[in-house]
Amino acid sequence: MSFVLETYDPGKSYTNQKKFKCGIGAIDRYARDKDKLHDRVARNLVKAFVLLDTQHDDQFVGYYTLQAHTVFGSHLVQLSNGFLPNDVPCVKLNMLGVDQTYKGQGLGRLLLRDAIERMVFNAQTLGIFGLYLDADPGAVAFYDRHSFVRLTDAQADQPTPMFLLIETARQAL
Amino acid sequence: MSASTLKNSRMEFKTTQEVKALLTSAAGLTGLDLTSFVLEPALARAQQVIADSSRLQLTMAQQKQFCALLATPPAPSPALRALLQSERLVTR
Repeated sequence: MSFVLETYDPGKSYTNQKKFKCGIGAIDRYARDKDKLHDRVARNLVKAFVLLDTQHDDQFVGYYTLQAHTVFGSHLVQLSNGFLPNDVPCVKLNMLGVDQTYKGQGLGRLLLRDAIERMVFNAQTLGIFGLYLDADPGAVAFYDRHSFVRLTDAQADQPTPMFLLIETARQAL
Repeated sequence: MSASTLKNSRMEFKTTQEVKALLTSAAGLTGLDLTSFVLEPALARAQQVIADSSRLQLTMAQQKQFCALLATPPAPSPALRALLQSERLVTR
């Protein structure tokens, strides 16, 4: 098996992108539907990175997306004694998925590794506090193991907001 | 979350007879009841809008957790260290 990661190019067509299936409906549709991944990258709302199988016609194996984001709390200034603004700048890892036919090879971990490293790199050129994501119930334990902290108040069944602090990530590099 | 999970809340809408008749007959054609026919696309749209929004709004409980987290950044877990020390994907 041999894989390569590249910046998603909306001007290019990827083998099997339209058949992408990681098993989570929203992540599948995001990859397949033209008005989602394709259009959002074309409009500069998100950046995406795609994993391709170089031994099989550069087949679309997995992807993740990053976008500028804000964590907002109406009382953050007060609660932090002025240490935080109410709008906390961060990077959001919006989608991350690996096709079911490639499960069990640790490729999702490698995509996460790349996303974290890019976030740390971004933090060298602009002010951000960390990496935020909404974890599906089945993925919470995975992110939890990798130092993402749950911001719990969500009802079961809903995605859980999780946050990896830039300081924590930097210490691990 | 599907429209078929425990229904413990109620929504009411005002509309015209024409709209209601149109929705009811379209729902009938798909074999769905009116509620599912109307609610499921709205749910999918709501999830998309939230996914696209560039702002996460924290509740008071979450704001307290977030402040506590930022006040004392945790040391990286062994798994995070291992992950970031592991070999990178080849990039093109």
